[in-house]
Amino acid sequence: MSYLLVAKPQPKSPMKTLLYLLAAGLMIFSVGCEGDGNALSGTEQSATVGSLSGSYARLIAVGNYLYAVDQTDLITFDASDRDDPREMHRQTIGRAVETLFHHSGNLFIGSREGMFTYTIQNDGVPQRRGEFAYSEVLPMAEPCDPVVANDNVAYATLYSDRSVSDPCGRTQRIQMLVAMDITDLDDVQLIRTYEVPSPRGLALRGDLLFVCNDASGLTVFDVANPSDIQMLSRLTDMEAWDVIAKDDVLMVVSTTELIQYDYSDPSALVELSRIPMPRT
Amino acid sequence: MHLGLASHLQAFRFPALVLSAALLLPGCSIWDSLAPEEVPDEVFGRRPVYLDVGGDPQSIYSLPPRALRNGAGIVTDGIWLYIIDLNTGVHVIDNTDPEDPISIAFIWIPGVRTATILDGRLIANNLGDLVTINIDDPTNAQVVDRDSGLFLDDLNFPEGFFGFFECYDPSRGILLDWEDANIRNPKCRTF
Repeated sequence: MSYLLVAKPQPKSPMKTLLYLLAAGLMIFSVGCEGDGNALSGTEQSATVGSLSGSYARLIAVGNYLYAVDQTDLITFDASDRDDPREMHRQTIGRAVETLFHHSGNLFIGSREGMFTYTIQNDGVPQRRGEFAYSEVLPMAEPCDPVVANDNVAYATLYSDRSVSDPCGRTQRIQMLVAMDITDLDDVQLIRTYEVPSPRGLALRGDLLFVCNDASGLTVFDVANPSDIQMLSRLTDMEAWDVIAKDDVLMVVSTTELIQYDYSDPSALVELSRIPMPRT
Repeated sequence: MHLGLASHLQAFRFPALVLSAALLLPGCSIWDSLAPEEVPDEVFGRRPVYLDVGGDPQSIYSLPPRALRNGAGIVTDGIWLYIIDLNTGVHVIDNTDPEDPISIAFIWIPGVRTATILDGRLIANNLGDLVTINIDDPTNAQVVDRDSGLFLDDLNFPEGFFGFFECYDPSRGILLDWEDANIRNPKCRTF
């Protein structure tokens, strides 16, 4: 259709102009997905972290600082006065930024283009380290991608409703778990990808990785060997959108429920409670 | 920050992003408004669903516990659990006993998409603003700080949809969602 050719961009701001340019340059990769973002880091529980968030978080607290992402930027707030957080730094990350995760002074940011690593400096400002472009594993797609990490490995779930044609003309849905070697934050390397049904939020705790599968439930993996993770159990009697793994309690949120499990035996989670809210 | 931009963002940009979050759709990258000669009479496309916040979109307050409608995130600081209900607010749950969690309050926060807890304060986005909320008494939440226009999200188009759509009009409210519809004279299109 001719309208494809005659459309005239009318940028409304410099930011938008930049986005147009980026988008134009990246059209070839523009089959994308939109995930809502709340990447939590169920795995994170260092002493400096007062709260744990699910993997779709876009705003997290680390020590006296707040970090937030919007579509393009990483924003640092000084919250040493808890009643008056102040923006102290802002830097551009990239495009279509979705999720923010913290582990041991490092930030892991998921966008539809890839995963970015930052190290929080002494002054609280994160410094860019490296990135892993999802085009390495998904040349045609822009997935949704919450990410979690420990000292050595980051895991991201990549999901897109949009079917993607491969070079042989076959189509496939994107539903992938990516394990990345982050031993060197400046040089993130692919370890392996795994196919996982409808992957959404995830949480990492020790050698256990919990992956929400939306309407397909939740899967527990043993990730002692990131290049050969093993499924320990799968719950199918529930929906799962995002998850926090805290101590021995797994907190799972779906669209309409909060469900908690005892995961001390990860091969057989025990349901502790399930509340279709409200329960008063 | 420049006030003009701030108000623009608050009214215009962040809501749109929230919508696409709700949809979880595959996305496209750009949209455009159309020249007059490009506007079709009537086509199948998408139109905005506006959120009626029932008043001031900056008004934040506690309500009794209510059903979770669009769970989008979870935060905990120990015994308390906070469930983000996309666009509408945060459920506060006493999780002292995970076998018997008790819903205490719902904090109405228009346009909320993400929230965290810092030193007992609930910090969340209220559309494009960052708000700090005293929840010492969750049934009587009080905003103690607001920083306007911080979130430059810019997805005021139906992410993941390719075709004509009715342009988002910020004067009509907060953009909550997009719906399929036969639309007349749409002046916007994704590509």
